[in-house]
Amino acid sequence: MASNIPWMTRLVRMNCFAKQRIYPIAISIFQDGNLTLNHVVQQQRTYDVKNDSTDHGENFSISPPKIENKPTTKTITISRAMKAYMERAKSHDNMMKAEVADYEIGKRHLANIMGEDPDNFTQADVDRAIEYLLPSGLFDKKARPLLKNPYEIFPKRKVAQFSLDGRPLHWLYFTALPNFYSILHDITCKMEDLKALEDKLLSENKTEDLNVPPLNLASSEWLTYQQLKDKFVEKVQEKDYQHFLVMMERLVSHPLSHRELPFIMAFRNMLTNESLDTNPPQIEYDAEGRSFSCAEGTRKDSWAYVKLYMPGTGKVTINGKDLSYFTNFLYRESLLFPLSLAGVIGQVDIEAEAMYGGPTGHCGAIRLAVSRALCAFVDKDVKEKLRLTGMLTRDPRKRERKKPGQEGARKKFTWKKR
Amino acid sequence: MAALRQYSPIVNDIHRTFLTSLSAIQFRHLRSSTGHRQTERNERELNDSDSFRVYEIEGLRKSKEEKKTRRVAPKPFAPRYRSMPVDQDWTNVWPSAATFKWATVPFPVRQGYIKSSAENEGVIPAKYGNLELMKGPNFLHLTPAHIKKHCAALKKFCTPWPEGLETDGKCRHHFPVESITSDYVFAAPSIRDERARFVTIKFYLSDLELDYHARDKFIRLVGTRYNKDTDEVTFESGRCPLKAQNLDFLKFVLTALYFESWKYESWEKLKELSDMERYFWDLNASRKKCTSLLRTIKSLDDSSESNSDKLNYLPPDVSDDEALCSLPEVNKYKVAIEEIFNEGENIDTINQYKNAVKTLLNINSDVV
Amino acid sequence: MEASLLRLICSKISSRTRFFNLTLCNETVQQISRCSSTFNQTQSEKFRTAFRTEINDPRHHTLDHVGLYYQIPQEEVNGVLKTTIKESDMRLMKTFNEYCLMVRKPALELNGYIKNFNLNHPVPRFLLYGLKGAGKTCIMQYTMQHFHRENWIILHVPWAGRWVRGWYKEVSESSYKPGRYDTPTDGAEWLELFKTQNQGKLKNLKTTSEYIWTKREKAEIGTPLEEIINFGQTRIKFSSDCAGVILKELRKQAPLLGLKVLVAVGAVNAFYVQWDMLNALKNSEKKRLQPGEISLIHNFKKMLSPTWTHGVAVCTADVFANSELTRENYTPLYVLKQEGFEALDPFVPILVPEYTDKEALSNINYFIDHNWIQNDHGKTDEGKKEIIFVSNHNPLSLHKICSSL
Repeated sequence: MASNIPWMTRLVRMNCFAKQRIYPIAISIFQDGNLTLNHVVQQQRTYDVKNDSTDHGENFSISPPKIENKPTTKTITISRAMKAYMERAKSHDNMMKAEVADYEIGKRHLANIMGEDPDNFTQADVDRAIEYLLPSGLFDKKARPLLKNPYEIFPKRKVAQFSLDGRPLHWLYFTALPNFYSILHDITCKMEDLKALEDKLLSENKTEDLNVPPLNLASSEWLTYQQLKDKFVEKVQEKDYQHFLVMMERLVSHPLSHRELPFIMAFRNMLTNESLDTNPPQIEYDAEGRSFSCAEGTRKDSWAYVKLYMPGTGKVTINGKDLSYFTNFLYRESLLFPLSLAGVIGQVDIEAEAMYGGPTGHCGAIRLAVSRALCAFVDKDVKEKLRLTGMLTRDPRKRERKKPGQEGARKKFTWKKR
Repeated sequence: MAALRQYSPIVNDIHRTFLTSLSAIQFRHLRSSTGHRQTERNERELNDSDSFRVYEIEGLRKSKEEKKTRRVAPKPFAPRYRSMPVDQDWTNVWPSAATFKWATVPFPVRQGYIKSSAENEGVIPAKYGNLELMKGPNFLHLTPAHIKKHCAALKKFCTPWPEGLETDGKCRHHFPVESITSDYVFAAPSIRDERARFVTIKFYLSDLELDYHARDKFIRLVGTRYNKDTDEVTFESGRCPLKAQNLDFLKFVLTALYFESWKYESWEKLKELSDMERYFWDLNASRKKCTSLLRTIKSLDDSSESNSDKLNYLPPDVSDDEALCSLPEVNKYKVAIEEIFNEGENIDTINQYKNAVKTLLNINSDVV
Repeated sequence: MEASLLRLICSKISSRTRFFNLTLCNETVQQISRCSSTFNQTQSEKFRTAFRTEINDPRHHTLDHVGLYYQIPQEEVNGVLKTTIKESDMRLMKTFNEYCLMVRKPALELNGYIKNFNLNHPVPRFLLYGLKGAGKTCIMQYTMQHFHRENWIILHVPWAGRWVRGWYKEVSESSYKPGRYDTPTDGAEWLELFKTQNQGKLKNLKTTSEYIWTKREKAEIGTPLEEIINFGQTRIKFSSDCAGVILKELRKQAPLLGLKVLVAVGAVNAFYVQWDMLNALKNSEKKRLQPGEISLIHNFKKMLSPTWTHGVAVCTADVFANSELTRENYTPLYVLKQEGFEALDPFVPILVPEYTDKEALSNINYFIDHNWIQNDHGKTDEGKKEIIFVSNHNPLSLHKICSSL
């Protein structure tokens, strides 16, 4: 303790429970620091260490509580709630430390069991090893055995929102949603600032600054309701979320909104280009030098494997038969769709093998496989068209199971009064 | 009194030693389990005041202070994995297949479905006492190190692959008959298993020396045991109690079938058209119809004056069936029709038949 | 009258909408077609040449006309082709108010065989086989029209499957031969068909032997065949026998009088493969009848054996005349079974393939011309490709698909 400073206030950035969030906590350290205060300092150090190791960036700052920085002779008493909190935090922290140590040693053990190098044993290796040693066919992957960093297993905890003397840190503490409302406040402030700036520019006749193209946010979308709740760790209501969206949209529609782009982007998800992410099938050549591509597709219970030759003559073979394999025209039409979209009707030869399920599943699976195989030959625009029309998406619908106590998946037994 | 008080610690000590041993003896033979407790209480009383102790009769007066002390469970040993070195030999820890043991598995694996954060505080259950982990199968006994050890142990039983049997073709040439047997190893008082008696032998029919008749008879005798597509014959037997007997039996069956196939019994002459294994045009009505048709055409051709559109390939004399059938046009027709029946219909065989009929009857079109 | 019609022709294609045509009587349409030939310079006429040929006589068709439509005159539709055209096709043709058929290669091939054949030889058999809806019957129609124009006598069975099935059909034991069964209604129906299809060709035909129907009724030698037909139609009890008499007389007299006879049987496999479904014909003892036990089929089978000359037999193999469980394939042996194959052997199998691209396009263009395809996308090249893909080149499928466009 620096004895020449009568007291000091430190802002501790705690990031142990919230992986991507930083919450400020103010801890006043008195000159006659006793054991409890020492402990607090120690705790702060450990948090700082964790902060380094798990900080993933992408934080938003919440304005720190304003604590007046003037000397006082009054002894600050620690409230009972804060004491209890610190005890809980300490025990939790110790438990987490033990868990992490266990995990690190366990990982080395696992590497040893699998005969691999413990120093270069990644989480992917761990997952593979666990899948081999403890195989599980449980349908839900969440129900299968796993070995993960404890920070991914133990849910995050909210950090104390009040100081040692029991005063709330946040000026909006009593709104019950301090983080959320502070953001709304920020939006309003920024909006007002922009308006003022706009007036100023207009008065100075700097129209070229105003006539900038509007923000293009097509490549991103707003955080979902759930994501917003997770971000604030607060029980935000659905209607509050709508309110938030309305305010953000208003901010975005302002002509000078590009000045607040970083702030806006903190609340948006970047959209990834799906068709570019999936690795398309490659063009191969058979013995006769014909170029073809292969792809698999599924729909309901069915599975299909398609070999698509291009250029071709429009010949279709499904399980050794031609298109008359499908007696219903609807099925043939659905097979036609990707070809017509790519404009290659009569220019490709399709050899398909379909198994399991019935004709609907077969045609859906073949359609998906054909669309995927086409991706090898067509250009980016067509690929994007295929993706947007859902040709590259697997139809996730499955047969719903029958429930006990009723006749089918949804249907109930006939109800008779007596 | 003051003097006494002054020495009171000493007095107390003496008293204490004396009384302790006394009460211990006194109570031990009465109630061994409460002896220690009683001593403690007396001791406390002696410490609290200098008054004389009061003899307390057990059970006479219920004391409020008396509490049942709970027996402290012995602290469990630290689980085994705590003392494991990180570079241990896992095959010694987990030598054979066993149920998942939380204390032996050294990594903190977890399993269990957490519906929401309300369930188990949102934490996936750890391995301690985790039934899910115990229920599922594990391969902790089949790690790469295990497999290496197994292979090393088995290696002394292995012999090099015999020379001259490098390819499947050579194997088939030297060992045309393949026999398949099974042995069953399991933990039971008996080393016998009923299923071990089954013997299967396989061979290719083309490896046997058979002529057309014998081959046909062999196929008819073995029935469904012959696979037409692969040309393979499969016999299976479990009728005798021992494996060796079954193998002998199958060898006998094979020998008997072979020699039986070569025999030509008198009743085999009674074979009718419907009994035929293939379509023989020479035996069918088709040949008779064809020759009579050709004869009719010949007579009609002879009687007509014009020379056009006659069947020119017919010889002047058509009375002999054999001569007619040996004509190339008729022979082509014969081959075509036999192929349709024996090899099945497809575009090739049907077109062959069509062309044969066209040449046979002199049917032509400008458009083909 | 004529001037107004010309204006109609020269106006836009909309004048050919089916709604308009429905209101016209056939006579008017023929006038229109006659007029239109003088105006072949108009735009719609140019467009029509892509799928249409001016040569309406099948005798003059060559390979150049494959895939093109030609028109059949009304009197032939009501005469030689009566009841041969499928009901749904007939409806379509009535809607279009013209009777058009496509020239196809197997038809030209078949007619070539028949034209070149030496009729002094015993009857040759031609078997048309192909997938369902590939156009076997249409090709038979084409051949019938062709040889009708060359004055051949046509013996036609539209679909032999009808003769072996029927819930309420009367079946009586033949008075001519016990163990054989007559189907009087079928017999009378066939006599009627025979009469319509061969109008004006039977005048000189007379019986060459005496036929005794009952104690009192008989046909003397020299009775005209038309009288036999009339007798069969009035006394339908003897209709099957009358049909037998006609067939027998034709077999006998064809070489003598130099007649030419075309036997055309649809679904000939019904003659040889027993129909074993519930509605099979049964005798009074509830026993299912073999095809050969039915007099009409027995008589027609004789026409398909090479025991007579100056005739040609054309048959189709329709797997739908067989039981439901045996319809996987369409090849001759599979459809006819061994018995049928051996009965027809040696015959010339002619494959009726599905449409080629050219034929399918021609069909679609024909439909577009008649505003049968009204969807704008269906009229584009891309739309046509799509229709052909979905139909899989099958004529029947193509018709079904286009009916909703």
